[in-house]
Amino acid sequence: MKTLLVDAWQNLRTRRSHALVAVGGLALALAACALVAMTMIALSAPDPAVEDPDRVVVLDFKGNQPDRQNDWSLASPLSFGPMLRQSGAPLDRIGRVAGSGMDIRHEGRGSPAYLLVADPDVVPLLGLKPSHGDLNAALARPDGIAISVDVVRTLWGDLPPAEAVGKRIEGCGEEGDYNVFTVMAVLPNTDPRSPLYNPNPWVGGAMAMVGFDSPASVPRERQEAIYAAYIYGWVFAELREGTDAEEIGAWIHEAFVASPLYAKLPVEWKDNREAAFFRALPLSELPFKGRGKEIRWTVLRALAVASVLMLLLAAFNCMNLQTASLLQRQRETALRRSIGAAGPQLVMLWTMEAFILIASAAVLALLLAWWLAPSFAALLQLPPGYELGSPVPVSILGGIAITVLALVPLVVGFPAWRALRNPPAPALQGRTASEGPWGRRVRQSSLAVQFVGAVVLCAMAFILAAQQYHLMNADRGFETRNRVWLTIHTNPERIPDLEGFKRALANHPDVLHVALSDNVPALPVDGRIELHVSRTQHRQALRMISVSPGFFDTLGMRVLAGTPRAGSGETSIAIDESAARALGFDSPQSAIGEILRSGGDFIQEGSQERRIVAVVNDYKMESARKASMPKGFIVTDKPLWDITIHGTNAATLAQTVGELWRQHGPPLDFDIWTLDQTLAWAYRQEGAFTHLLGALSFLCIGVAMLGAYTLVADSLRRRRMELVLHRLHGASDAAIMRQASSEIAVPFLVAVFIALPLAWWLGSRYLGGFVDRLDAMTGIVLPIVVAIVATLVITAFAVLRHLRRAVSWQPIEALR
Amino acid sequence: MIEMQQLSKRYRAGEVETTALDSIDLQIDAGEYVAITGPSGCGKSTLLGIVGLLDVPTSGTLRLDGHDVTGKSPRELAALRRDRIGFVFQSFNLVDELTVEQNVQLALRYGGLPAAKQKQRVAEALERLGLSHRARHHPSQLSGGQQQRVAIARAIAARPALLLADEPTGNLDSAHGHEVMRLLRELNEEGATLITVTHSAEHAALASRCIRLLDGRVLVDAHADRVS
Repeated sequence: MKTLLVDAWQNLRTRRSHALVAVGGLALALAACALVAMTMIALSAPDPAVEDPDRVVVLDFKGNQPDRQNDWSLASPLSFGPMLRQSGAPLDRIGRVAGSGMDIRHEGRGSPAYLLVADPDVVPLLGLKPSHGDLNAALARPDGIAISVDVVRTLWGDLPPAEAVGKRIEGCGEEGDYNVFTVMAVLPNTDPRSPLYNPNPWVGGAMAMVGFDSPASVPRERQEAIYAAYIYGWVFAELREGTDAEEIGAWIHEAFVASPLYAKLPVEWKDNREAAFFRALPLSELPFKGRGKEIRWTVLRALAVASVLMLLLAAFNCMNLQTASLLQRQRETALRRSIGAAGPQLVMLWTMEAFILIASAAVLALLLAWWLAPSFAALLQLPPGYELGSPVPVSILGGIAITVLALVPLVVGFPAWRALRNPPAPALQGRTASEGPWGRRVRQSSLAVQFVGAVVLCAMAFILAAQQYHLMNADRGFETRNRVWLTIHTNPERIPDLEGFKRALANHPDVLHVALSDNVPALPVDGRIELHVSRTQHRQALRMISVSPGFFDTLGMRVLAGTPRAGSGETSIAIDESAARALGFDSPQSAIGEILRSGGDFIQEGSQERRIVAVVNDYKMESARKASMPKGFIVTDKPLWDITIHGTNAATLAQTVGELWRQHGPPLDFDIWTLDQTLAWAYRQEGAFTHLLGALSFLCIGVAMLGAYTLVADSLRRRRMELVLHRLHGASDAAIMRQASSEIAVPFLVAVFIALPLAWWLGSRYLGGFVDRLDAMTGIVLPIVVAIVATLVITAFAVLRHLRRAVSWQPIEALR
Repeated sequence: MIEMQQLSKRYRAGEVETTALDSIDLQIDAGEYVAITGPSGCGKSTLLGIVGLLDVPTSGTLRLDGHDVTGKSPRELAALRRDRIGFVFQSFNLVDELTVEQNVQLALRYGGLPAAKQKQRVAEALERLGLSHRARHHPSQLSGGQQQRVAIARAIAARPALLLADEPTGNLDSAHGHEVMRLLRELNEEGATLITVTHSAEHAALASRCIRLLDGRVLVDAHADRVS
């Protein structure tokens, strides 16, 4: 074995460039596979704190409102908890958690925090463990509170968390005033795999927990009504032994139909149809559910396919190099056979060479993956807590080992079969056989596969980039350039006086317009929906947003008719063009002054009257993946917490606004983003996917180019005499170039033929996920053409050196 | 047909200069059958390369059909080679990946002949060499003698006036060697000027004129009826 190893190693050393090309390509591809696999393993793991995640379920609810796209909420009205308890469902424990916000302060220091109002049963259900103190006591006592380590740091700096227990702080939930709480427990920052994890960039890890009797919660007397009508949080439950999660959906449905809430629902929601759907999801399935996670898994699956494709290309590359190498070594092979080496012994030698190559690539890949893991996690915007690659999971090591073992026969099989077919005698006489037409076709086929991979990945990268550009620049009915958005970390019910700040903004020369709203422009949100009925009985559900009168100027929107102004004594509403049409108005002008009736529960007709004061151009606040609904803007002078400022220069504007807030605004924490940054954050997953696929396709093209480079180098070496004969018979430089490049031209054309429909199909599937997308010509055809041209140009550069050499060969060589 | 005056070829490798051909004066008439012999390194192949317009002399002149070709451009030389000269090599120089007929067609590819005409010429050449039944075979499926016959078919496909053969029997057994020489002689008898480089005295004796080189100079230039 040692002799074999030394022999194989020496053989590899003599063909160093071949070996380096093969190892480099395989290492990159294996590293990409390992990175994607590590991410998938990390993201598929359930919360490690939960003892049996298959038996703990979270209730899920999907409304079934007519004529609307309804999605699963991954949450449910909290009233389902008591409903299930009363129904006698086979559940051992049921615990509710309501999520909201809280302002916490202590001796002048304050922190906005994510507030969880929880039943004590949630503690054992989710395996919640405080780092210090008693969490059960914090939830049981009305004045008790548990706070996260981040809140401790904000309030007391370097104070050891244990010493925070027992301290008294002030806090106020979304309703009510500030109350005094006693810190009874300190919680570690929430694990990102926990169902309670809240990825809110404006709050970070600041979190507090109280019980349902806490003054920070909705008052007891109103809890039942609110928790029945709205989805405020989650209901967790533990399945009784022998119970299946699927059974629970039927129990909830039964309890829901029997509840008073069901009776209140509009008749058309229930008439021969389900008003809502229910299910219980085991926590082990939670990592795969939810819109954001589903997009993330789609991204990861696509990256996995791309990585495996790249691995396949690298393996083909390796096989090509091995074939070329064995053809070059015919004399050596013949010599070995002449001194008694049998076929299996030669195969063993070549297998050992391939094993050394692939195993070296695997080791390099693991090091690369381990080194790149933090950057990869950052690019995918995984929250802290997902420690990719430290340590590298055993399953990854096993997977790599299996891949190595699977690749060896793939790389050695064909070249060895080919090499052993040649009789040794001619090679010993100095006559080397060519690989023959079939060998050449096999190698050209594998190059064609490499080109298919490169073109498809490259096309997909361009399609994604084009769509991402479209997402960032599509006309949404408002401008984002030179606009910043300031959000205050405060209770929406108690927004402080902002007049001083608004005056300071108005007087600043860099500020052109200022607007307040209860939704962030450029950050796709669903918002509330209310049915509006016009005098002519046209009915239309409008997606609602509250804005100050300056909102439309600030966002560069066009007012088509009327004047957006807050009403005195009556509610003023501005509607967009689609809404005006849907409500039966012939023109924007004809809608002005008209009264709309709204304000009913469950998107039903209400009795509130709203006067139309303006009609503006269509405004899209939904995600590009959702269809746009007609909009209604409640125009109000009331303070709202999202402030949009239009200035002359976004970069300096953010700084200016920050300084003005510190000087003239209330002492509250705030965040300032440009609207372009907000938009990019909204489509961060798509952006990350675009970047990653771009990088992968770049690597893929690199691998394919190495393949083309070595194939052309090798085939020109083999075809040297043929080309010299062409020269001898009068071939011009161009004819020689044509001859030499035909080696890659045919595989390239075949690849284009295969890649075109494949890229079209994949591109259509990706764009099909967006309602707001590029047309087929700009979004698919153009990127595919660019990808083909780019691959062709890069290939041409890769093989140019060889082509120039081929042109320099002289016909006299025919005599040598 | 071919006229060489004071033709020399020198190679320089660093400080060392080697004279491959030294002031050669030769005239070869159309229709002649010339055998060039001599020990290894005497300049036979260099001479053949220059006559075949594959190489250029360092000094002296070379005339082909009365035209001085020493100053011609590579493009002009390629055209002359294509139209006027056919080559037969010791190692056949067939392309393994191409079939017999494709190998023969190689000689016609750049001559501007229509495809149908090329096909006809290839068929005629193969017919002439008795290889029609092997047209679709690859060289590796043929014997050495057959391979050399394919090479001769390629050499005559363009109907050149001058045939240059570099050790055409060097890689063949005697039976196949005789067969190849018989073919070449037939072609000469049909009008082609034949210049062959050979180590074989027996094959050299078949020629109407034998030129023996030594150290780049003409040692003997013997016609069948006289010796100079």
